[in-house]
Order: sequence, then structure tokens, then C-alpha cells
Amino acid sequence: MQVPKYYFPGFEQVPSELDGVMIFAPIPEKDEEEVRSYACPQCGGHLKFDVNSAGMACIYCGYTAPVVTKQVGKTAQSFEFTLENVHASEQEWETDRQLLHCDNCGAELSYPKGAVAATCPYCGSNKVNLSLPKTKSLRPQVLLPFSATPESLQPHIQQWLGKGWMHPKTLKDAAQIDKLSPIYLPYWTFSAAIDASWEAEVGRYETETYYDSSSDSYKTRQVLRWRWESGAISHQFSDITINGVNPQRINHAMLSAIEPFNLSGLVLFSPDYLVGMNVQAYETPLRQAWEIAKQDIRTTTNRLCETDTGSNHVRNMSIDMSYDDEQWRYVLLPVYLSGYNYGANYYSFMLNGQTGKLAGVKPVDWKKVRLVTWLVALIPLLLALICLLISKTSGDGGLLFFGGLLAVAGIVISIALYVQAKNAEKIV
Amino acid sequence: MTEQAINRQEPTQNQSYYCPTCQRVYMVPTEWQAIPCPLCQQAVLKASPNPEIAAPIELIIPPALDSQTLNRQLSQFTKGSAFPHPDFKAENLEKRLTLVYWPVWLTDADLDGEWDAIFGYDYQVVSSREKMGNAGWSSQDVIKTRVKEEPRKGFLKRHYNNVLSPALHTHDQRLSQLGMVDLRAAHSWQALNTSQSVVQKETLFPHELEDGVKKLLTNLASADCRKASGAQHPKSYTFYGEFKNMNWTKGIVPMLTTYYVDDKGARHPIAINGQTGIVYGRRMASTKKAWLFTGILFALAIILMLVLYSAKTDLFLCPFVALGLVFAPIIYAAIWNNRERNKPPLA
Repeated sequence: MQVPKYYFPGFEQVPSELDGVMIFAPIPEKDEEEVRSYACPQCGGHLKFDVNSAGMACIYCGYTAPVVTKQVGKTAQSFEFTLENVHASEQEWETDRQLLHCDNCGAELSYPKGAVAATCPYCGSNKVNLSLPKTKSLRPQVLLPFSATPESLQPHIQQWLGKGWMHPKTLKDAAQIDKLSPIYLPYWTFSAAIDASWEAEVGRYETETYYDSSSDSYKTRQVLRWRWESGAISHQFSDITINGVNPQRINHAMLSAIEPFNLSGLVLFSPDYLVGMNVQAYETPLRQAWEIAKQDIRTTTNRLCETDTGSNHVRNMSIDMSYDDEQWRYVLLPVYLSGYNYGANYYSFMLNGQTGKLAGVKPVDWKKVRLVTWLVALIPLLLALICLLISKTSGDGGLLFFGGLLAVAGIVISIALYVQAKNAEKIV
Repeated sequence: MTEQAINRQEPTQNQSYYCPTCQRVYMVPTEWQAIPCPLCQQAVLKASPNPEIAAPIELIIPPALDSQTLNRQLSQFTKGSAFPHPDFKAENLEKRLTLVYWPVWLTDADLDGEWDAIFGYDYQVVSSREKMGNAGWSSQDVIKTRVKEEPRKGFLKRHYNNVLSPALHTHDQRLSQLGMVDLRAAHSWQALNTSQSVVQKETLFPHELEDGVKKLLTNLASADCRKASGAQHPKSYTFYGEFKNMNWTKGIVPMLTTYYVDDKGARHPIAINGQTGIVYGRRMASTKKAWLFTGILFALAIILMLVLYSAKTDLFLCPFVALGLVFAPIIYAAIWNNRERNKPPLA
């Protein structure tokens, strides 16, 4: 069979398993060129993504160009757990280092596994490597652009540093804050429908009539009776967000503290967003992240089944749950990483690049905390002592009780303050 | 051997006959004496006053049933019938066999042109099933197969041979009653092949069938394109090309007919697929036999009642219950016959 002169637009010929049948299938989307370099069309300088102008900007001549993309929000394409995807997500991160050739100066760059964008240390040109990983669905399809600018966040950081009496008074002024370093972090989002059937012993109060011999009459009382019951629930889980960064690389507790991200702001991926940025590709494979998400699903399902019983008294519950229509997305979310020097120590913090929510570590002025906790404990104790003495002479039992209450309250509050200070040393 | 075969001599020429009851038209060997309609068994065939010329037969599928298979099939068919008529026996049915050929059209065509389809491709996903008990949650992977629909287009240039299309209005019914025929056994027809058999005349002609055959050819093309594309499921298919060199061949397919006679002397036709031995017909119950059983049970119930009554036991009331049950045979026969009557008549 001869190939016809005309063709089907958007289709290409594919192998046929039968003589006399010629087949054309849709042309698969071609891969983007593997490595993109960004040079300014005006001056040849290096372009980078500029959060302020929300576009590409030349750091030398001021040239700006908007990023062409489309906001898709939560309707962004999601993928199924095909055997191919699951296998690929686990296999495609075997190489520890990647090699990148700089077209600008010819240098061979070696950069860590998972880094998607890089800046040549010799000539400063920005590059985005789109070839990782090979399976297209495992490349970011959508991202959430930075909408909070570093300038707009500065007052917020200052305010955060100055907040809280238990931190050093000089922290706000003496802290030497680093530059905010924007980074796109990998996240997996998961959606799934579940059908669960449950069986449990459910306790319900019933009114029982009994004979009260002391009053020689019949009375009623509430009795908790346990019976085996069963039921079924269905639930749709949407956009459970799990970060895909190695916990050794980034503090997960701090990352959780700056969530949530509003995924309705998701836009279609464009490499332009990554120019000059730090971009981390996922390190937690799809399957592993899904297992983490499933823990949330289990907890919620357990709670929903308990609610479905219609009673607060449930025991020996068993659940049989099946999943359906499981979908996932690989997204890049914006985060600013930074830190500050105070005294001889370095403290890190991070900010949500979309909402500006901040979380980080602040030093605690333990002298101040100790003084306050002692005072909080001692003053009520002294007052309690006075109350004790007065009540002894006057015989007022109420005053004695009040003094005791004050003493206990003082001790409790001072312990609470100490615990709070301990926590403030971690992440606030 | 059939009853008709006893009086048969060497064939001269087949002649057109028709059944005044069912209006079916047959070509019957001229030397045969008047025979009843092999398919309805309700009237004797009459010579057609204005015999229409039947299309010439080109292909014949010979009968492929050996006597053992036939006997086994008929024995199975006659077994399991409720209160069978005395005449409804495999050996009686076998004695009255008539070989009847029924017509089909076999179409050859070349399909040449463009096609457009949506096919379904199987793919597998990993899902989960989880259980929570006293030991906590346990998870099990479940591999599910789903279908992904994808468009395909292309060109088709293929020859299709012997596509079976109906030559009778009752073609589809007959296939559903007697099962499919294997066209691979077809060979060229010669007059001798049908000299000792009845050939049913076609009621449908190529000019009436063209649209239907094109649909059949399109279905075959769809199956080929799907297979060529490596797809598992057809979703939609359109062929825009030409149907070239359409050639119609008349073929004949073997079937054996027979009958049994009921209590009232009425004949009930039975048909057998000449290749596979699938048997079809109404297996009526003998109401006479059912009444006889009812009578015997009734008599037994009365005798039992009298015996128990004279024995002055409290059980003498039991036969009254039995009296109610004695009508079970006749009720069962009536239900059976009603069900059989609802079966479509021989196509």
C-alpha cells in the first residue's frame, strides 16, 4: 500500500498489524528541547524570572517579557496510577549527579540529582533542564507562581522577628537577615474516591424500667447497650498535598507550618518560571508519597465510619475499604528559604511564596523566660502564704481556699510558659 | 434413510412447489410424490402455478452429520420432555428425516478508502483494597484494567470473501434456532448434490440486500482496522471508501427436518442443523398422558383414604391433601405446553 500524498493533520502513520490497513494515530506531544538557555534579546545578558513583574527580566538592560501560560487551578490535568507511571517514578532517580553542558561558555557542569534549573558558575547564564525525568507525566505539568515579592515580605519578616516577649529584645534590630532565596519545591497532590463498609460494636443508651425496692416503686434509667452494627460510606478525597522533598534536605515541620497553598492559582507549566530560580525535583517517589497520603485517607475514613454509626460509643470497628479513580498530580509550589544570624548562631526560616505565611526558628531569651516563670510562680505563692496567715487569724476558710487556688494557678501558668518557650525555640 | 427416499429414483429435474399454509417455496425433485411441507408439516406441497426462476446455485455446504451424532442429538432432544407423546421418539424422528437446503447469499467485495475510528485500548492501573481490624490497617494492591479511548484514522484496501448475508427473510431467526454454519466447507454445486433433497427458494435478492451487506462489510473492516491498530475495543467506526467488485454467489446450507405426531394426530416439525446437529422444535407434552397420571394418582389417593379411614387412624385426612396434589401432572403439562407454544415456530 502506497503512502498517500495527503495526510491527516495532527496524525502520523503508525505500524499496522494487518496487510491492507494503513493506520494514523495522533502525533504525541514532542518533548521540549532538553536544556534551554535564556539570553536577553536586547543586550544578550542573562534573563531570569522576576517575581515583581511576573515575567522574564534582564538584569542588565531592564528588558521584560511576560510568561505565556494559562491559569488552570484545580482543573489541572491529573494522572492515574498506571503501572508505567508507578514504575517510572521509582526508577528514574537512580543517577546521583547530572551533567549539563553550558552553551554559553562551554563548561561541563555537574549538579545534584533532582535540580531542574541551574546557573553556570563560570558565566552566570541560566539554564533549565527539561529532560528529567524521561516519563512526561513525571515532569511538572503545573506550578504555582510566586505572587509574594521579597520586598513585600521584608516588613512581615521584621514584624515576625519582633513578635513574642520570650525572644531577645534586640532580635528585630540585630538579626542579619539573608537574602530570600526563592525555590520551587515538588509536591504531589492526590485525589481518590473510596467506598468503605464498616462493622462495629455500637453502644446506644436505652431507657430501662426497674423496680427500686428502697422506694417501693418502678423507676427508669439509661443503660448503655452494645450491639453489632454495620454500614457503608462513600467519600471523595480531593487534592491531598504531600511534599516530595527529602526530609534531610528541608525541614518538613517548617514546611507544613507555611501550608496551605491555594491550588486554584495553579498555572500550566512553563520553563520560563524556573529561570534563575532554584528548583527541586521530587525525591519522594510517587508510590511512597501516595502511601503517606493514604494514611490521611485512613484516618479520615475511620472518623467518617465512626460518625456513620451515629453514636459516640464505638468499639471493635473493622473497615473494608476499596479505592477508585485514584489520580495524582506533580506540581511545583513556591517557597522562599532564608535565615538570619543572631549572635554566633544561624537560624533558618521559610515563607510561603504565594501567601507569605512565615515559619522559622527564633532564639529564646532564657534569662527573661526564667525570670518571668519564677515571678509567675512566686507571686501567687506569696499571696497564698498571706492568705494562709490571714485565714489562720480570722478563721476565714474561703480565703484559704482562694490562696491555694492562686498557688496552683501560678505553678500551672509558669510551667505552661516554660513549655511555650521550649516550643518557641523550635518552629514558630 | 428418509421416508421419501424409499420411493426415490434417479433425479430428472427439480420442480417448484409451494406450501399453501406457510407459503414457503421449494425446489423438489420431480420424481418425488406429493410431500408435506418439510418446515411447517401442515399441508402437502403443491406445484407452483407460476414458477419463478430461482437464482442458480453456485456453492453448496454439504451435510456433515454422521448417524451416531444425529442419533445422540435426537435422543438428547427427546429426553427430558414432560409427558412426551408416544410418537416423540428419536427413532421415529430419524425415520422421517428430509434433507432440506436453505439459501444464503455469499458476497465478495473489495473495500478501498479512508476510515475514521475511536478504539479502546486496555491499560492497567494499581489500585488498593484496605482492611482495618484489631491489628490496624492492612493494604493489598489490586491491578485494575481500564480502557483508554483513542482516535485512529487510515486507509483500507482489502478483499473480503464469502460474507454471509441472508437469502431468506427468516435468516436471522433460523441462525438463532439452529446455530451458525461453517462456510469453510463450501464447494461448487452440481445438480447431483441436491437430487435427493428439497431446496428452499430464496425470498431476498441482492438488490434488496446491498445496504445490509455493506453494513456487514463495514463491520468486518472495523474489526480488521481495530486488530491492525492493536486495540481491544471498538467504540466507533466509519468507512468513507468504495465497495468495489461486489459479487453475489448463491449458496445452500444443509438442514434436516422431521416431525412427530401428537395425540390428536397433528404434526409438529423439528429441524436439525446439517453441520452441527443442533435440534430445534416444540416438544409438546401429551395431555392425554398427563390426565392418565392424574387419574392413577387420584385412584391411589382414594384407596389410601379408605384404608386409613377403616384403620380408624387420625391419618385418614392425609389423602385429602394428596387429592389436591393429584392434579399436579395435568397442571405441569399445561404449563409446559404453554411455554413450548411461546417458542417461535421454525423459521
